Amino acid sequence: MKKITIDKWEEQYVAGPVERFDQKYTMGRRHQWDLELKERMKDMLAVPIVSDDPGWTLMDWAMRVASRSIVPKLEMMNLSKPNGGNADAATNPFATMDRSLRPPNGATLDVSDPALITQYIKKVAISFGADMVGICRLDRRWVYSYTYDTQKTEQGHKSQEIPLEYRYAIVIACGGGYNLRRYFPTYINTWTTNSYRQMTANALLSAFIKCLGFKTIDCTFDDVALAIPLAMQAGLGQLGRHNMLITPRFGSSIRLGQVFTNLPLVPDDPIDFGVTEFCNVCKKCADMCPSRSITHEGRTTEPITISNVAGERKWQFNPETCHINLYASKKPCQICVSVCPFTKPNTLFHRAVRWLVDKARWADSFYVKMDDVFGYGKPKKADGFWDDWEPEKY
Amino acid sequence: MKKLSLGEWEEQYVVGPVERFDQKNTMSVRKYADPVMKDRLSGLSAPAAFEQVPGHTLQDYALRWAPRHFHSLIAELNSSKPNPNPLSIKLKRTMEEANKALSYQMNMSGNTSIDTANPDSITRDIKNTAAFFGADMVGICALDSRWIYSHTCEKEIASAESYTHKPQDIPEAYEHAIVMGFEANYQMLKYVQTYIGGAAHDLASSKMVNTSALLSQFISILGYKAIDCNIDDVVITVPLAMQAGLGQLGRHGMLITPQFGPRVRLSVVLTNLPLIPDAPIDFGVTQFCNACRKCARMCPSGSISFGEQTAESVNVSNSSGGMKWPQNGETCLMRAARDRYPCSACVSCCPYNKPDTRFHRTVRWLTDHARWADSFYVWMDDIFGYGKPKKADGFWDKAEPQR
Repeated sequence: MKKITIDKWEEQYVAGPVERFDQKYTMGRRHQWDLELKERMKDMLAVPIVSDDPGWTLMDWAMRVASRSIVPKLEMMNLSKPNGGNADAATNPFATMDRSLRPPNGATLDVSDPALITQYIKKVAISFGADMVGICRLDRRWVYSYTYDTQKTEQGHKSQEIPLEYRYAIVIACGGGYNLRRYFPTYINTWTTNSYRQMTANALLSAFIKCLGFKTIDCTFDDVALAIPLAMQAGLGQLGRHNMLITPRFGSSIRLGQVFTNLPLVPDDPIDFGVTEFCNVCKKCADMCPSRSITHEGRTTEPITISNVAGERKWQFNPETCHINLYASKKPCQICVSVCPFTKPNTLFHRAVRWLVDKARWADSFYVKMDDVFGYGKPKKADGFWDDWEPEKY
Repeated sequence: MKKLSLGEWEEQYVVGPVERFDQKNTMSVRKYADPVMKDRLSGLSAPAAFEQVPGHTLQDYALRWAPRHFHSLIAELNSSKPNPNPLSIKLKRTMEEANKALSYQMNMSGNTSIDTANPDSITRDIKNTAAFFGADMVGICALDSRWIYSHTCEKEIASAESYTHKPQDIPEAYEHAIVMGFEANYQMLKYVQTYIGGAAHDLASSKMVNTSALLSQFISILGYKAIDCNIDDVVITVPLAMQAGLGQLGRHGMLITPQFGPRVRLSVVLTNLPLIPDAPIDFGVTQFCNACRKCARMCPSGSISFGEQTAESVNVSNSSGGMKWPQNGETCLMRAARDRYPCSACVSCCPYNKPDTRFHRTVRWLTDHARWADSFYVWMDDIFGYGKPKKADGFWDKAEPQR
């Protein structure tokens, strides 16, 4: 794994000028206004599939839903976004409570040594539940030009600017573990504790910085800026063929969060551990994608739908077919995350393979072959799951 | 460690009839509802004490307040309680409004429910689920209504002057209590009477409020009812935790667990799901605490009794009918109001507060099986230098964060 300069990173991932992306064109927001798409995804309102088959029972489904159920509450508590997000300050009961987060008695933090503060912030993020933490300069190209409120639709389509004083983004990642990932495509594959762990860590980190007397924008979800370029710039990982971040330790089984701040920090360097070369030869996610939304071709800079960001060099991904399939099948997916050869437990053996993947990149097709031979990336039967399950602590 | 029947447990801990406790008499309510205490505890709402001393710097302060702010907000906004905060109802409506698009996820509830013919496997699954969501310990007991607050007090927001005081009843359908324990960080707790020690507890509480909310939600999606009691505001947790087999009562008035000693935060989910209760346990805590007076010695406000177990109360904040070493919550909180930084001395110095290593498990086995030597174990604990507050010098530079 080597560190690369931000210019080198730019060379690898950016082609030409990047036009800031409008949140209106993200798939999540197109549900609201894109009538054609809405029609094709109407099945999402149907009752989910629950049966007696292992992995598809009411218990399995309840775990999937319950494990995300605190997310709206955490989102509602966040009043720091420039355009408010879902949390409208006028009706939000938290508006009066946020003010207690300030230094007592006019105390101030000594910021003469940003390197030391950076070290402290990273420790704090870890103790608040983050598995990885990195820092980058806040590159405004990745901040949404407009945000699109899910409720107010067109009236909620507002331009978004982050004040210049927010110079840094603290990017955290929470790992989602490996074992449950093997039970794709059942509900078990999508059980998560990292969504609320990430949001909690984000909220705590944001509160921590406010108590130090500095400002924060807590990006809870990725509804303020594009998460992946920021995470790459902060040195957490590289972009994969499936258009998700691949991290050294958790592969693609992660969730990302960002806190923007005016606290003086020292940015990290982007990293390169051989993902681009590996994804060029490995097409496992593309082979396994039930909606064929992941390309088998090389990287290009041409967006293929209005939901792709222009100016980035990547394997183009079709989010429209992905979402349509997702809702038409009424089944959870995330198969691309589960079959990715980088999504592995953090054992000595897998660390050794990862070292090879990084140092001997010419053998990438051999590693992919071996991944198949060892039987990775095949769905595991969920029979008797609940009887044998020993929950892991993350 | 032996399991007790509920009858044996009753004999050890309950003397005579228990009158249900009114939440108005808890210290956390008396600090605003009792005029005398309100005056004495006015320091609690004053700006925090703050100085350039390790453990008391601005970043230590922030490390503690970030999780504290977070968990108290989540706890306030729990709408599943019989007497919820009005704010939580408002928020629930706002959320339902904001998440209409996601309501498909909930379509299932009400249409179907799980097969409960085998409570054994449901009990196992509920315990696994709680662990997956983040609980470090889980136990189940039949809900003993004696530990439900007779009345609750509620303030809409912390800064408000007025509060409501209402009777509270839990419908009989809620037959079981799921009690969960959340470990506070052992290393951080060594920094007694600093913000770092306080942060250890508040971080555990932050995890607790999330897990408790998720488990309640899980049960309601299965088609059953759940009341999330996550911050001691519906029931008295320690007796329920004892009945659920998580541990025993210690001299400092807190639960002592075999794995983590007293460094656990407790939350309870009440439910009508058919479950199999666990048995209370006895691993020698009562005899040990009778011989050990470390917490009483280390308490800066002298709030912990040096005496024997008794059913007598020290003040109105002790619940009646329980056999215990009654603790003086008034002086304990007056210390906090005076110093304005957290304490945790009693949790930190407790000889049961140890990492869960083989050596300490062996000692624990001895304290259970050779109880006659309790005063020797306490002596050895002192000799080995345990329970001394650790200076916070260099905490930020040296400490490796643990989750």
